[in-house]
Amino acid sequence: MKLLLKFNLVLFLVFAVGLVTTGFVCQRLLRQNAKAEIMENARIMMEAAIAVRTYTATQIKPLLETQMKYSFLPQSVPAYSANAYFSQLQKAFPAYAYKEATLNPTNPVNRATDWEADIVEEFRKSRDKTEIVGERDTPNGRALYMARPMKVSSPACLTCHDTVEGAPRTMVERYGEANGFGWKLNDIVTAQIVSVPTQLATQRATSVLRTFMISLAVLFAAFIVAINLLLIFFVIRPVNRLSTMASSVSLGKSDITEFPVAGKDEIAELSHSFNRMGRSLVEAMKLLRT
Amino acid sequence: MLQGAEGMNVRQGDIIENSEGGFVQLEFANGAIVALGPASRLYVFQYATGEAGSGQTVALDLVMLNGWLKGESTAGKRLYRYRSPMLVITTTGGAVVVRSNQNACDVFLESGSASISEVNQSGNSRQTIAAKVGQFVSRQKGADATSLPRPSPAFREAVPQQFRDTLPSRLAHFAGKSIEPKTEHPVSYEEIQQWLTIPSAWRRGFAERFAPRLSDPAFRKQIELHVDEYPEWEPILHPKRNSESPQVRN
Repeated sequence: MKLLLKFNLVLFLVFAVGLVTTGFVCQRLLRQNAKAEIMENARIMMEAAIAVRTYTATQIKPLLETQMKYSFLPQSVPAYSANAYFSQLQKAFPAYAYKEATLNPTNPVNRATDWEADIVEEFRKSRDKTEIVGERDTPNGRALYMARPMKVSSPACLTCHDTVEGAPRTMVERYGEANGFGWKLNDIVTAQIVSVPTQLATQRATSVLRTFMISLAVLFAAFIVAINLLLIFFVIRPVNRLSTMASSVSLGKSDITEFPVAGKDEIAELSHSFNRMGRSLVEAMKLLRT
Repeated sequence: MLQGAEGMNVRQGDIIENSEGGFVQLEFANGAIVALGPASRLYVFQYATGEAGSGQTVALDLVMLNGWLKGESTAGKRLYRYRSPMLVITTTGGAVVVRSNQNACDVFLESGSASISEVNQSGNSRQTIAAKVGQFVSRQKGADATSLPRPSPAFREAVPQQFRDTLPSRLAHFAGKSIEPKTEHPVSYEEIQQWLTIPSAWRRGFAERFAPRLSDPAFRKQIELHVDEYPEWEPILHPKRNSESPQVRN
């Protein structure tokens, strides 16, 4: 087996193992990062929804109190404003979703679907639980959801949700008497659910991994080519020529051209020694002939 | 007739009228804020600025001929009265919205409480309704007042947009400024004709106030023609005839 082949085999093996190991580690890291990014997005969305709700409850609702005596304005309802905010957001990011899934909502739009109702029930059973995170398939692809419970924490909530008689007339006129009543203080009635697509972050991670692995492979290839060229020009070729020269000397030829010596590396030292040995042999052979 | 200007002072006895697209807000030193919707006519019948005494005193008494009015006042001992040809609303504080014309009057009590009375031709009250928050009282000409727990959809639809919010005070903005209205022209009979027909108890002082306009032949002619409807003008039109004492003959 030739020297070049041996070198190449060893290098290829080392690089292949390195590439696979690096790829595996990087993939794990990038996936973790992607999940963290998705979770971060979900948390930002959740906090934004809470901020909009608080803003509506503390600043918008008091301003609309008089108007509410004439007609019900859903803009005064925190859940409505949070949904309206996300509706706008969805125009730019259609795969993102927000819902205040409620078991017995005033506005039917907020009624919890099967899987959402399960989450609300889970919160009702485990009252210490503050967050549920999971993944599910949606028409827009795989999505991560984050849910938080909403409790009837203030008697003010019951103004609208206790009894039909106690509720603002304008609200009853708009939504009817069938839904959204009978809530109790400290009951968990709603789960805020944020849905963030995983596809985008995963695709981004895969793209980064692919680019990194290709770059690494190209770097390895360039390294192997460079090593090969160095071996050919600085080791293999001089050694081959020295070998040819040695063969000529061994066959008794006296008109051997000296090997050109350049530089001060090991091959140059070897060439220099070999030329000296060649000259000595030629001189010795001349003495023997006379 | 004066052309009103934003920030001008209003005095007791002033009559305020605004145009079809107009909106007027009156702020009184006693804290009451009154807004007039489009095409409204209002007479500042009585206005008191002093402190409330031990009993109930009338802080504000307004007569609305037609249009939209929203009155807001803080709760206390003082009485705030809004009169229309059909109903009289008296409140000790709260917000009330009134729509009135010659044939009907609607009242919506936004906040507080109020007593709402039917009014007869002479301006006397009868049949009082003690209205609660959210109550809607309506009266058509020739009929009794009716009360509903909620304003009618037609009323809600028609309420001026500015009335749907709490009236914001702008009094401080004009503090220390003296803004005078622009004099337009002497008042004509047609311009005050409807005011001369409001219940006699409410139009007291009108004859003396507009008497100088009798120098205008057109004005005098109209008053002469309708003097049966406004008997208080008779002594002013014919002072000699009225000063003669009745003679007793045997």
